[in-house]
Amino acid sequence: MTDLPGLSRRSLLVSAGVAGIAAATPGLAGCGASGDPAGGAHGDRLTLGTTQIMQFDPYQTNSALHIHSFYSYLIDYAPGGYRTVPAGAEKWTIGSDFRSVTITLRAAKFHDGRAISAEDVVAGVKRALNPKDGFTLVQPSEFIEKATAVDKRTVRIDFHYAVAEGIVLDWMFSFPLVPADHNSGAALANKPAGSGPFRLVEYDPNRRLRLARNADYWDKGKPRLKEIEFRFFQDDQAMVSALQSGDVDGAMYLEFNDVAQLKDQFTVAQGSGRMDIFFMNGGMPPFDNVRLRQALARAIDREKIIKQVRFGIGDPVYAPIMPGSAGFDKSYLTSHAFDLDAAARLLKKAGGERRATAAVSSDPGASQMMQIIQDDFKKIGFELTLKPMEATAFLNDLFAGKLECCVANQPNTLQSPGLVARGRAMLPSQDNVMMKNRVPQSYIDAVHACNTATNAAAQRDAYARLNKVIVDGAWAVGISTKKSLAGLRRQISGYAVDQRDYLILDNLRTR
Amino acid sequence: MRAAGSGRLRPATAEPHPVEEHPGEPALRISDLVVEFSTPAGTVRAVDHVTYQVARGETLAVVGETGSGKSVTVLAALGLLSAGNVRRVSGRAEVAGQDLLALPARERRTRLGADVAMIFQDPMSALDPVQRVGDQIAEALRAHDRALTARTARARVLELLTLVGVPQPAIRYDQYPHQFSGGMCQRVVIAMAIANRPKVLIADEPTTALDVSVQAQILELLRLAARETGAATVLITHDLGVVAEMADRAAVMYAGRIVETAPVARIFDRPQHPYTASLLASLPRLDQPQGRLRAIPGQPPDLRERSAGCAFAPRCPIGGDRPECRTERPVLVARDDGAVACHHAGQAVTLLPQPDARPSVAPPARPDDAPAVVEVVGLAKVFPIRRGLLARTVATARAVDGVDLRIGHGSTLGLVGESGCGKSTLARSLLRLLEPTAGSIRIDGADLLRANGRQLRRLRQRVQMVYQDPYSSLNPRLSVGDNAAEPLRLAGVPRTQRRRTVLELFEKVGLRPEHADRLPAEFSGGQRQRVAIARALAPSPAVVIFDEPVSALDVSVQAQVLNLLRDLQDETGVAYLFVSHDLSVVRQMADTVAVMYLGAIVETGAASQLYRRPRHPYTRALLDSIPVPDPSIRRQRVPLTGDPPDPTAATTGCRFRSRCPLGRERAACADRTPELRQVDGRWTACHFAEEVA
Amino acid sequence: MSAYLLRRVGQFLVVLVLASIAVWAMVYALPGDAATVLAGPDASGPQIAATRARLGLDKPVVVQYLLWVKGAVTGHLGQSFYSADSVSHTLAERIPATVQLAVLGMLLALLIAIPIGTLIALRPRSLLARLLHGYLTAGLAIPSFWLALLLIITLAVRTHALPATGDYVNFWQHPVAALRWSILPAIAVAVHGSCIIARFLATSLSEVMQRDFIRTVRAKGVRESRVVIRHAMRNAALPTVTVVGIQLGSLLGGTVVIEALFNYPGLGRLLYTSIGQRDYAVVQGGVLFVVVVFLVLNLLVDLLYAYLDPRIRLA
Repeated sequence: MTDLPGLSRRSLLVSAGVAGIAAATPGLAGCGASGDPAGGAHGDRLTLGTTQIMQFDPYQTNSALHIHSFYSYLIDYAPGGYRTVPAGAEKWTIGSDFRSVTITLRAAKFHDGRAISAEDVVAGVKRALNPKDGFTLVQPSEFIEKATAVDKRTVRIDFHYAVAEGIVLDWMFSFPLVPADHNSGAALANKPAGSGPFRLVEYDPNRRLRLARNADYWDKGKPRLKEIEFRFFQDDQAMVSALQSGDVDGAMYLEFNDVAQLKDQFTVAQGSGRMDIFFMNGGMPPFDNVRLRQALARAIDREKIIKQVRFGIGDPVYAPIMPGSAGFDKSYLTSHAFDLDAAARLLKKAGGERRATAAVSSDPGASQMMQIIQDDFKKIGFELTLKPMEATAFLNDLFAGKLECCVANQPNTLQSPGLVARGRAMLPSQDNVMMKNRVPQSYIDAVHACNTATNAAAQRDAYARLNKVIVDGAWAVGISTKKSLAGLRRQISGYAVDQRDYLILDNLRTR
Repeated sequence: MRAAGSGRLRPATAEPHPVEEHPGEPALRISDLVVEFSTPAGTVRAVDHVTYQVARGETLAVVGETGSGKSVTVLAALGLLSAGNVRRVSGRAEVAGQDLLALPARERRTRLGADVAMIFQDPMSALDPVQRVGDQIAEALRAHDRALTARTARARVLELLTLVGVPQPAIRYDQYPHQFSGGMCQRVVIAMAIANRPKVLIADEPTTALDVSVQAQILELLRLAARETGAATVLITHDLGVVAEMADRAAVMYAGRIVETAPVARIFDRPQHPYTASLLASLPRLDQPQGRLRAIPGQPPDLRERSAGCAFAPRCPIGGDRPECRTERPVLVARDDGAVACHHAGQAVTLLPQPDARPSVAPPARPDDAPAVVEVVGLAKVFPIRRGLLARTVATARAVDGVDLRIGHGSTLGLVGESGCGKSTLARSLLRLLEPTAGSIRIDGADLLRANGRQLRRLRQRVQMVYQDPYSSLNPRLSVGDNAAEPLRLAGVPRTQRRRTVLELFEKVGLRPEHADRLPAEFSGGQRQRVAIARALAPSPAVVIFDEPVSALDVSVQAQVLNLLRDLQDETGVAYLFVSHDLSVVRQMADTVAVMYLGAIVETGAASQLYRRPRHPYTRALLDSIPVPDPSIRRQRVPLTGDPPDPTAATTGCRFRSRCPLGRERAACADRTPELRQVDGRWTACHFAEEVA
Repeated sequence: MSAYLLRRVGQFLVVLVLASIAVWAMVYALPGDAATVLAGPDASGPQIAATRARLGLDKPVVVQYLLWVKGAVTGHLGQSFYSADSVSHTLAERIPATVQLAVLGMLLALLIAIPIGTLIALRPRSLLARLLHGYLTAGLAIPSFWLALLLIITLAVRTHALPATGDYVNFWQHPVAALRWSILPAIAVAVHGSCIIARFLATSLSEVMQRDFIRTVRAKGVRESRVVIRHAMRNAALPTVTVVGIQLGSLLGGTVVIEALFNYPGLGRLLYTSIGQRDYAVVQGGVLFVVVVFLVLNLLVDLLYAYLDPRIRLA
């Protein structure tokens, strides 16, 4: 990357002749003046742009792409699949009755220098079981009864019931190591306390986040970079310009329409991302009519949406189950494919009110996506009125169960289809914001069956039941996966994104 | 020389210099000057081959109406025309032998203020409002003498301020123009003009914007300035009285040309050009018996429509129909001690009114016992002056302070006073546009101040008003006919009847009824004032209030309007309240006159008596201040000193005391406020009225 | 003068209190709160309630407002929901950036506007004046975000001459870097401002040049340059000062669009983000700062007016 300043200087000569402010440029373009907040990688440091907001509590998994830099988790999955890689846990043994797991922790240190101990895991589990502070770990930890420290580096976790191995692994993959005395939402709100590859140097909300190599990181030789700086952008276009002009070395969470202009000059990396799901609120008319929901589910043109809204990036899904998961049954994509005739037929039989209001979030693409759905619904005689909403207002009404229908994201189900029950629109209880007290008992049972199926046959059966009940219930109709996109300078390699969309930065390097 | 008398007449450092007698080498010679402007309607020649010269020590008055080119001539000569549409300036403008127009602009500028200086019409706007007055004068010095130090310049400015009669010059130096009265501003402008002892002094309507008493002071000062500097003076004015008082020679301009030039005495005595003669004849005068004015018919010429013949021909009472006047433009030829541009010069003198031959057509003064149309008793209007955090009233301005008035049916009351005396406040109170603080007003016997709702609306129909500025008093978006019909519309008169009434009125006020549908913009000032008069008369009022109705009009038009007002009154028997600062105009119009000073009436009585033998020293001083258009009676005047005082200042005793020439030290004047008392057949508020001769 | 100042300060406080209530009411009227944002889409009901309680958002709005007022009176503007920093600290980090950009933008605008306005006023018929008129028309018509994109594409993306993003570097410590990182956003904000100011200046200057006193000054024999600079300009400055004040006020209030496009860490971007995140205390603090800026600028403009115009000063 040492040639970058030279590049600026060369381009200066070009611009000096053209630019009206030529007189001002010589001094200004002199890169590397002290106090320069410049991007431009200098061998072992990188600047990355992102449009996401940041926080430091690993129990809040949403939009925290950098979180894997601060924390070690019990295990990692190798990229592209679900092969386990020891991380915070050196080894682990699942009890033969599938009702416990005994974990041996790696001898490693937190950033503050203290050794990681079994008590930290015990405290962490306790928090995950606290519905008031466990945040997104509450639901995945629901099968756990308690955690006990066996010795300093061994911890035993007991379950309420026999649990599928995948559920345990997915849980270990999601479980961060946090010092016991820092492990609360309040303590982690503004600064991290982990053992991950990078330490926090500086955090200026809305402006920048600077990370520096953790010299004590247990994985020797990593991270490869000395420093990484995230710069926060509000405007995607500004971030793309910054990448193009060399102000940043990479741009995270690009929008789909940026890919075309970047792919010739930059590496565009795709992460597994989340899923776009069309939700219909079974708690209120007209969607309290299951046959109506089933009819409309056939009128969602996944291919068209992927092609027009996502620029061809992404795979179709029929339900909030991620392709690659053991429970993903692609035959549903044909049996319940887009078919307006079938939809019209079903709708006719369903009866009921033929109009509804669709809330449209401010996410890029959300409105085009809903317009495509609106057009197709119209063709079968269902009138959809679009109501654009600001991001927070959208979220607020979604959680309050006030939206009639909308497109929202669902997280990756990892290797356990039962994780479909994460997220408030898919809860197997009356807290489900889309179905409320109408959540089908068969769904609750199927989720439980998935989580507790410990042999292959039971799993097959449970997954089939789950698929059927979700497709028949038709309140959450899959559209497609929504990949996370990043643009990087060609010189950068080692970029990876894990199954939760967390950036894996410890292998990042420049040529 | 009371005005400037407090200072030394000449700065001690100044070299005494001999005042050259004219004729000699002319200090200013303008020859063949032509100025043209391009306008959307075509080229306008505003100045057409004008030639005149002034010698050192001589005063030349250039007389003319709006658009005659009298100001444009000098502005062009000095390169001060700032309009963007100047198309052509040709000819010569020599100052001490050097043609200014031949000089490059930069060099010409260096002559200004040094060789030739100018004094402008509106002194308040002639000074930069954000620069200290003293610095503005010093700038005139330092522009021509770079070596001058700030300290020396300041000393010189203080001398100049003393010379022009600005009291407390050291304090005044650091003040700003808005802290000066109009008269004081004009003194400053004069100081600026004479700072570098110019060879030529040009004064463009120097007293037009000022009150009569101040006008007299400034004229005195101009005389002093000319004497001090020995400069040749060009006095541009429309006021023949000023000409008679000030000038040695006069040049009369009409439509961009000089039509007559001669020594002042000859001009007034034996005018050769019919225009000169007509102007003189149309003036209302203080010194002669009143009658119908000899108005010049028609309007001042439109320069865009230049005819081949004499520009004055359409209005000329002599040449009128003779073919040579229509086809051949008369040139200026020497005649009788001067020069004149007329095919029939010599006949003009017959146009002058013969004092003895003039019929005494003054209508018999209407008897005082005619039924009162307007009766005002003890009227007062006090304005609070608010200041400070809570806008508390810290002082009051007694704009009108206990005024009694009576206007009889069919008669005219003239209300005279200087600016700020409260005459406009009084007029507006009569319409109840202002709510008086105390007193009563009766219109036709009905109490105006107690009236409300429909009653008030009906009473307001009985009192109508004509304003000074005919350009802003008409609604520019309504046709003149609709403008005139407005009071009738308010009174609920149906449309067809309104129309009929308006057309009749147009006939009466001398407007062509077929023009009723035109917009005001198509009319001249005089015609607009006729529209305003028609509007005032439309609801058949009992009284019409005229607030300076002719002061915005040219002299020739003024007479037409005054005659019209007379005729209308004779015809309809409407009463007039005629508010004006111009005593000659009031004399022409009024049966009874009331003189106002600081919110109170100081003298009132029959016009003839009051003008002949004023008993209040203020009335006397006002009459003395007016320049009389007769060079044979240049008087040694006793003008008032100082400015009209501030109405917020609390006074005890006689309010005129501070400016009274009778001796302001008398105890009675300070102790007791003089009440109006009957003296010599009129009412006067002066303890010593008997002493005023 | 002191009574005047006292009255102004009184007005000040009233406006401030009203503004704070209005801002509070408006932000609360928006659906959703910081707990919703913080907890994220995957959070459960009890978690959100817990977050709400932790942030104090479970109290009645009026109580929250009064608590904030209580803090504000003692100098604590509260705490951002999203960072460990106090609102005062957050603002204190942003305000210098915004002030620097605003001042730089305004200086540029004046640098462009004064010669253009003067030239158009003095030589309205010249070819150059006509060309500059074109600039003024274009500058007013072109939205500044479009200009910003144009600058980014030509000077940053295509040629790499300047960074596409802006950033705040203290000018007094690193003047070159500071200019480098703020010159493009400064140009983007300056062009529009310069057109408005130049128009005002041209109009009032040409009006002043027609006034009688200019003729008097010329008649004194004063050089034309001095006529313009010392007499005409000073008078023409009066109405222009007001426009400059308003312009500077809106720049100091933060230019949301420009700051977003250049990713400049100014107040506008902070407010924009904070409104989206329902970060009430930051929004409140930021808006009140903007209100104070406007009030102070207004006062300064009035004082400058009084300084420039003795008719006001000595009335």
